[in-house]
Amino acid sequence: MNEEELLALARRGDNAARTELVMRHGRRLFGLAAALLGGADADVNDVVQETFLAAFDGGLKGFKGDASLATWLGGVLVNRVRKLRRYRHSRPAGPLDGVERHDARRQPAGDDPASPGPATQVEQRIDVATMLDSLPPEYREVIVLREWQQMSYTEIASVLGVPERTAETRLTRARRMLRRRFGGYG
Amino acid sequence: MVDCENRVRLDAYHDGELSPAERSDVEAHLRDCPSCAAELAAIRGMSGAFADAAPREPSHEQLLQMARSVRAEPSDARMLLRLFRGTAVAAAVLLACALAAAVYLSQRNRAAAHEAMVLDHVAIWSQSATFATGPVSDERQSEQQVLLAQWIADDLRGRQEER
Repeated sequence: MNEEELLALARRGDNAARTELVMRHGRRLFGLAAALLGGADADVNDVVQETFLAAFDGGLKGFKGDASLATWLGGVLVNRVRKLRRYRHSRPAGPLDGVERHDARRQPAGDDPASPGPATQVEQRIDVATMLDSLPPEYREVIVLREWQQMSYTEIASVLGVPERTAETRLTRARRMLRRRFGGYG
Repeated sequence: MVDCENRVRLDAYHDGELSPAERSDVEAHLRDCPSCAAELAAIRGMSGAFADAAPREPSHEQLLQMARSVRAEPSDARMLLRLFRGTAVAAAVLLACALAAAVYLSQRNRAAAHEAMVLDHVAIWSQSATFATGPVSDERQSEQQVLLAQWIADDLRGRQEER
């Protein structure tokens, strides 16, 4: 049974279909919500639940089968997170306590991201959570979707509701911001 | 490098988003441009750092809990609820009918009782008038007048209560 049929069953109240979809997509959605909101955020569970309920009971008709269900659910979740942010008066996202923190022995931010660092930089550890916290929400979204959700540019564009070229530009800018603020890697 | 930044799609190259021809062009450029080569190394290093620090995944129990929280209302429960609602409406209608009937019967009984009382009084008065022999004394006439006044008062009270 394909996912479109499974979703149709879930919408008709078939609980086996609902459970199946939660088991298939829940892991990914939890990861996405935790990355966007911060792992310790009490709203992570609520946002994932709201996403599934919106898909099952909320009358959302956006899924046509042309995008994967995972991408479509990701888009629903991102919109929920944005609404929550607006509700919180656009305060910055919280720390990513669900994310493994590495040693934050960064070198001072360099102005020239092009200059290759010394050999010791290879061993430098990065505090990924701090890096993400430093980004504005739209750049945080694109980094999370690419680096942790492993989405293609087409999928990122679909989730964010922007043209593909915009998704690519946003990702490039987000990475440059991080390199300029936190120094070179590699 | 500043020129390269806008011209060479290093991020797209790193993310595997370029066509074979575009990839070849970028690779040719990288051989001649140490700045872009370093930039690409930095992009790779950052991606590696993210890969090592992915958010913790939810437990199986957490997913099951989520599945329970988004379950649909069971159809049996829906049917029972509909049945209960229908029964409750029917019971309410029956109760209203019973109350209306009780009020109606109560009023009718009270009117009948009052009517019976008046008829009794009239009968007693008639009897006393019929069997009175000889001239009616002043004392007896006075008793009859008091009795008659009581009947009238009772009758008027009864009518008022009926209203």
